Amino acid sequence: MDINVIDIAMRVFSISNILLAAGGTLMGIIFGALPGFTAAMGVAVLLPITFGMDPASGLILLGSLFGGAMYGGSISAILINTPGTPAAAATTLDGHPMAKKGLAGEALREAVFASFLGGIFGVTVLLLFSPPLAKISLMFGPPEYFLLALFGLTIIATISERAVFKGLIAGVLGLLISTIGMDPLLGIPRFTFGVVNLIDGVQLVPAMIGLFSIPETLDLIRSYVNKDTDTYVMTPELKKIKVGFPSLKHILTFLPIYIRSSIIGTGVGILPGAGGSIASFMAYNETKRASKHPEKFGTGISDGIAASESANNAMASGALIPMLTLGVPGDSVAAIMMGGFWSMACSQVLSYFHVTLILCIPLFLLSIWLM
Amino acid sequence: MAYANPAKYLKKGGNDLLLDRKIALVLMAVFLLFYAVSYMYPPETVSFPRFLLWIFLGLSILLFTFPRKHPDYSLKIVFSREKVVSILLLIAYAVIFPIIGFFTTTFAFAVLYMWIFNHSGIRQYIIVTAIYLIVVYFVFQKWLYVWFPEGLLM
Repeated sequence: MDINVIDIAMRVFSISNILLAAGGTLMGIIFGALPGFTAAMGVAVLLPITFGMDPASGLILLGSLFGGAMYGGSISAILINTPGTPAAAATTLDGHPMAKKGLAGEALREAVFASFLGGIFGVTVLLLFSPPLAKISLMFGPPEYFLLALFGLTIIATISERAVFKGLIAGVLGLLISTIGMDPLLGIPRFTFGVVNLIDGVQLVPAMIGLFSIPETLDLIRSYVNKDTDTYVMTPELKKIKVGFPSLKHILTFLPIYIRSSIIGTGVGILPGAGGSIASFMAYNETKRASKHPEKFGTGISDGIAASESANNAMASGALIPMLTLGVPGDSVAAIMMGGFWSMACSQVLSYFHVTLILCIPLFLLSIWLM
Repeated sequence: MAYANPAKYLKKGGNDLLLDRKIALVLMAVFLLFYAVSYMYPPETVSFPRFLLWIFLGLSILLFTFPRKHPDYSLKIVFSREKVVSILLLIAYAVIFPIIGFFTTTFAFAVLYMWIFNHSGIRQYIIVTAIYLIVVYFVFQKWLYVWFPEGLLM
């Protein structure tokens, strides 16, 4: 394809497009931060609005919303222990303990910066290596996906090393819950107890919100009853939150985590069907394994947030690789976006989208810092 | 990792059970419930769930046999009045909002919830909840066309 970069840049870097990117990022952050509203829902809701726009503007809006939502999930994960999106579930493991220690600002800063670097990495890979990586994703068949699922289950052992039986029980319970609903082979409803709403099974988002937020509610009540102050230590600290830019020493120390997690995130993203939650938990697991102090994970350290957030933002770009090159979406958000692309000028999509994403990521960071 | 000596704790009565043992008993009850229900379906449909249920039972027995002894673990599950009220309110909210409607139920429960746990400033709770719901209504339902469950009211 003959790509005229200057022509694309001239059309993309207009004031209206920059404002659209900032607005899309802001909306993405709001959608991501609200538990129950996911990136997929945000993209689906905004899709009709983009039909009347220039293709580049529409793509800027959707791309920035996707990136913003991936970061936004970490805000509620850190502050209220309820991930805004499934991809931010791993962020709660260290994010909320940091907030409880009064380090909410530091946790949010780590989430912003890791998201930024993960996004930049993913976009670079999307720009430079899309066609060969898309071919690799096609080589994944049922045996490879089975192994990936099995690998996902082994992560339980790492996350629950202080209570292995309970971790394994939780894993098996999760598998059992996934059998609720229609049997995929015979089409017979299982364990629905006569409830029609359960025929579709237990969906991930409501299950995740319930499992994270109800214990948190009960914990807050326990603190209220016992007049504990530890739960509320973040309240006065919230006034002092300064996101800011991390020091050079911090960046250099965390660079291996950012790079490793971004590679994992992009790799998982290009596999159709594997989403951000898998990417972030895998990155968390690998970072913990490679760490010199794995026992500190889960107690509130920045390493866990860096791993999870750089992986889920890299996954966002990774999910677009098979979609842009092969027409096979990497995750649900990419699938909805693809529907929108067909309604726009398809011949211009690929060239516009590359530049669009480059534009979105720095704006994504800028708009977060301005907030 | 410190595990308790099972023999020492098996001698004790039910009230002295470690928290892990109480959890294991609940899990075994879940196993029984699901296993009994599985007979309502054709065997080929429930063969995989039953396989999982047996693993589940095995792990529950292991948890019961080797409970974890940890200084942070309380020996009793404390049911405070506030906790029970909170759980009942959550269940009532989940049951009622599809019937009455999301906005009315959320308004009533949010105000009630905050008032129960902090008996002062009900006017403030009403104003904050109302503003929140009005913003949610206009942004999501009117502008973005994201529909919330509607029942007898809204």
